[in-house]
Amino acid sequence: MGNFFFGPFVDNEFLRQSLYAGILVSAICAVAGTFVVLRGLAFTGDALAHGVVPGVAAALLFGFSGVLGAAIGAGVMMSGVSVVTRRYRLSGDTAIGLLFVGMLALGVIIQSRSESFAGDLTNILFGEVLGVSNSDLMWQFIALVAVCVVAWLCRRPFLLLSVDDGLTETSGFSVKKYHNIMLAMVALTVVASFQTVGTLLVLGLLIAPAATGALFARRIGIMMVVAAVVGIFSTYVGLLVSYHANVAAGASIVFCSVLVFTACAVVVEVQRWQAHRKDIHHDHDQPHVHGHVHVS
Amino acid sequence: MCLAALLGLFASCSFDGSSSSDTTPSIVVTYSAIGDVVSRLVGDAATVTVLIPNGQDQHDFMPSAQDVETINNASLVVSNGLDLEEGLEDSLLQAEKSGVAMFHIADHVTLLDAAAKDEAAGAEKEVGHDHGTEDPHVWLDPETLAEAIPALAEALKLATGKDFTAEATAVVGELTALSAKVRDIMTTVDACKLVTGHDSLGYFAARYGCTVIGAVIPGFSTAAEASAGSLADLKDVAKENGVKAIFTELGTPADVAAQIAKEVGVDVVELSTHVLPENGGYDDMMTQLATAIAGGLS
Repeated sequence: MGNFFFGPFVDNEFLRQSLYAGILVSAICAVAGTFVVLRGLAFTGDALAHGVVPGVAAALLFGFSGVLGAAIGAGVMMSGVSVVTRRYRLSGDTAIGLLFVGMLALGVIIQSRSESFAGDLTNILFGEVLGVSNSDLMWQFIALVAVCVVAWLCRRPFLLLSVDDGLTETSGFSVKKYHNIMLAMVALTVVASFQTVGTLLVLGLLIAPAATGALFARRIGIMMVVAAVVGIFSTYVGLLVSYHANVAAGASIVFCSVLVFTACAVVVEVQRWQAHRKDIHHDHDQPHVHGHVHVS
Repeated sequence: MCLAALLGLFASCSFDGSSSSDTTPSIVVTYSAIGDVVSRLVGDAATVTVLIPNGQDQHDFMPSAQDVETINNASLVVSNGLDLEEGLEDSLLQAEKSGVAMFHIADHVTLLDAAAKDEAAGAEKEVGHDHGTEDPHVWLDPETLAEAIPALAEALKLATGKDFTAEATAVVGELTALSAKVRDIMTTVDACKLVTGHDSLGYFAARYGCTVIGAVIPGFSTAAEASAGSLADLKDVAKENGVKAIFTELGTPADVAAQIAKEVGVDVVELSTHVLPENGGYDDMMTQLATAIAGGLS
């Protein structure tokens, strides 16, 4: 039995590397994803993930580092999103949608005329979780530290932004400034994660574990811990499924994280229903489990 | 005013189209390796246009609007067939429906199918690839490719009205000589056991006494994804068989291949299986391929 669960990782170094990368990416995504979920930035996160596609494609075409290309792509996407939403009276999701699809299309156009040996769109979109090198792990570790430092330094304004923009302003923090810092943190997360799970699937690890955390926890720190645990568990199970069932690894990981969220949501729903029944019978002797964030 | 200009534009376009097809017939070939052989066959009797730029993955290529125009205006389109040109499939089918002459190389050669290949390789554990489908990589064996040349000459005759029998005999001779040259290079290899980027070297292996042990992406296309299970199997089989190199190609996930090679303890050797070398033709591609394989395995 132990062989079934641990054998693949003991026998295969490449799978251990994948697991390490998954752990690092899960931790980064847990920190950034919690704010993404609380502030409702899922679509922006997705747009940032696709913003890196033309950057990476151009990097492969002109022969510079893919990570640098991704960072440039995410930067362009970020400034695009904030300019379009501020200048024009379009709702945020329309502006983000436009930039998102525009950047993705540009990426495909660049890639379609690239004659690079490694310029494979499949690898950009779905990642190479089974080919993680030590230097990839090192960069992901540095990104994890950076994301944690940003989140710690900005913990109070980020928390306020997660509740209400007005409250943030009255507490003396610039909404614009901290919103942009938050976007930069999400962009860094995407750049650090896309090589492992790909630009299409990175959103799964960014929001599914964090959303699971938000189901159970009130405090942001605990949400992040739950999210990291869910992400790491999903990585482990996803790799195991990819091993035993011979299916694509990155997609298995992300699918697993969404399944975990769904299962937890069902559990929470059932608990809520039972609590509600108790409420009726015992006349409110139990507090409600409706979600709200403690500002502390 | 605009309308007039537009009409004028259309008129000039169609005029250009008809005038060029009147002078020299246009033969469109989907990719460069076949393009080179077709050029040798037709000489100056027709213009040969290669659709997929040399350097791009045949499995992945998507045509531009101009590419589709080129297909539709062709006197004859020569393609590989067997789903090699996945992204061109629909455009080729539409063109064929509207009456463009088509020649599929794969229709005129002896095909290897996946089941036969597995039997030959004695592979019990090679999982994940579509059994029953046939290997499209026919150009990687000059003798298999040569089988299609007489029929191709017939198709060219129908399309252009010129006779290419003598040229066909010459090209078949060249391909046979090339095969002998490749065999000479491959005789220097004791145990030719191949691990490749995807399942591309079936015909090559069958002709030159090699065994395909496995592939990073187990399948005839580069579009699929590797799984942890198939990679672990590949690693084990590669170790058991004592393979000396992991060969990668266009469309191989480079990081994954590097990681497997590291664990098996061998080098990654890049092969050009789908692309002609710079300033080189099909013959150079095949001899360089054989040299790279022989070098990697020595």
